[in-house]
Amino acid sequence: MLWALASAPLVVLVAFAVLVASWAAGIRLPVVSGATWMRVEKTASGRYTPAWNQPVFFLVIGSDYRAGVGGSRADSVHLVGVNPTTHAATIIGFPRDTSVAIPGHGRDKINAANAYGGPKLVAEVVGGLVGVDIPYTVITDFDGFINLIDEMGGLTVDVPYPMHDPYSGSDFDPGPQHLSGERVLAFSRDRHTFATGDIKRSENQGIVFVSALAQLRKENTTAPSQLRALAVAARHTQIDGIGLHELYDLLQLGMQVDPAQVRNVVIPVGSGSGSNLAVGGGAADLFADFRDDATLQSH
Amino acid sequence: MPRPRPPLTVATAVVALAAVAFGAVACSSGGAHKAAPARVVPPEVQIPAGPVDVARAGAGGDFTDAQAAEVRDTVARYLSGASVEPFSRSAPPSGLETVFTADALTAATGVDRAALTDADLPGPTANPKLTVAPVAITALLDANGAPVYASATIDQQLEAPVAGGIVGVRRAGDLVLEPCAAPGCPDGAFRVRAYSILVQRTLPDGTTTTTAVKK
Repeated sequence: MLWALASAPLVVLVAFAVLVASWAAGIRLPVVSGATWMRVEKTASGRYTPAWNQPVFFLVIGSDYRAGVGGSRADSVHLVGVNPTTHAATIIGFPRDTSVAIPGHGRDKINAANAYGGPKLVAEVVGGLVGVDIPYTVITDFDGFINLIDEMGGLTVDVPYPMHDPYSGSDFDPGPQHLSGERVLAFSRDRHTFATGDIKRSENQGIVFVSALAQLRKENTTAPSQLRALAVAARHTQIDGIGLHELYDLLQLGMQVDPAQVRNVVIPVGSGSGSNLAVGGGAADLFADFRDDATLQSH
Repeated sequence: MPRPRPPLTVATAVVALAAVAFGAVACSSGGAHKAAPARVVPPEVQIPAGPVDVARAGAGGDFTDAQAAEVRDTVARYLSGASVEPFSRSAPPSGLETVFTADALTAATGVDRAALTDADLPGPTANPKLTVAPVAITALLDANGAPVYASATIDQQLEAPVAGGIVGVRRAGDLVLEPCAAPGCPDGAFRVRAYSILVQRTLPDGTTTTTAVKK
């Protein structure tokens, strides 16, 4: 959906997808270093234009990479589909422990795909599961995510329930609150507060995406503000295979999405071996409902 | 035997003919008076320069004075061809192919005609008065410092007496322009590819508000 931009909303837009990416993204290297907060990559040919009338899909990845700690797993994986005609969108979260077939690497947790082959391989795995081509990937990591949110001037999140978790640093009472990048990261990482662990965490990351979209739309209503945001986003994003014209068009696509028309779901999962989760029986129906127009009619 | 026509009857006919002739002249004269709007002179469109902001996707590059002037020239052609001339002369919009990209032109003269042009208003009976606020420009430069897009913020007011009252037009919003890449484009020219416009019109029979957005 969008890429975003942030106080520059651009960044956000770019990241809507990006944003959404919420914290994460993987890859240890280039994802976020210094002034680079995220990486946007085109993994398929073609160029989105305003005349496009087919669903557009983005993969947003949050890596567990942290300075001094390392890591390159995709601990936050979301497929975002946008319908350019209805201006509706759907976010599908994939819990990091979901067991999947990774081309060339056998069966493993979905978060390992990023370590094996970066966002492009994650997109191949997720696209294969859902049955869609994913032309755009966005990845960020802890620092990139924090910087992104802070550049936006913080993010207002309507916290749905009490969250208190010393591991992630989450400490929230329910209700709308304006959070710094660090606190949004804590909200996005908390899995110990919930009995369903990473499943609820994945859903909360979707809440961050929708919150970011709402804020971006509210703060960037004019063309000048959108151009300034795009410039900020571009300066802090490693962009591969996408020009500013396309980024601008994607931004416009994202800005047309009504946050009230965004569905935020997590794939159904069941018990697997060890800590693995198996893709649940209802997933095939969910994907079939989603892939034709990026919206859900029966879920 | 035919009765001689009384002289008075002849005189009456002469008077009647004269009256008809005079009437024709009078009508003709009246028509010429109604054509007075043809004497209406459209005001000259001059675009005051406003602030120019440069948003850089890379480390360098400038949006030159000449580039800003090209943007303002396009804005001037837009206001003239879509608003001032059509309203002043009760004529269709003209020259907009040098203002919009092909895609935007289709929308501006089609679904968005009511907001983008003033071609369908009552004709003025005296010279319109035009006020244009300074146009602020925000230019987006790519990593190499080349312009990708430029927004121009417009605020235009046009007013003139018409039969039965006064017509007032206030048009405000943003145009998004890009360097023209079409064949035959003059070097350095910009074309409008997107817009967000709000128009409020005061007419003898009421006030209307019209908006149009093209991404």
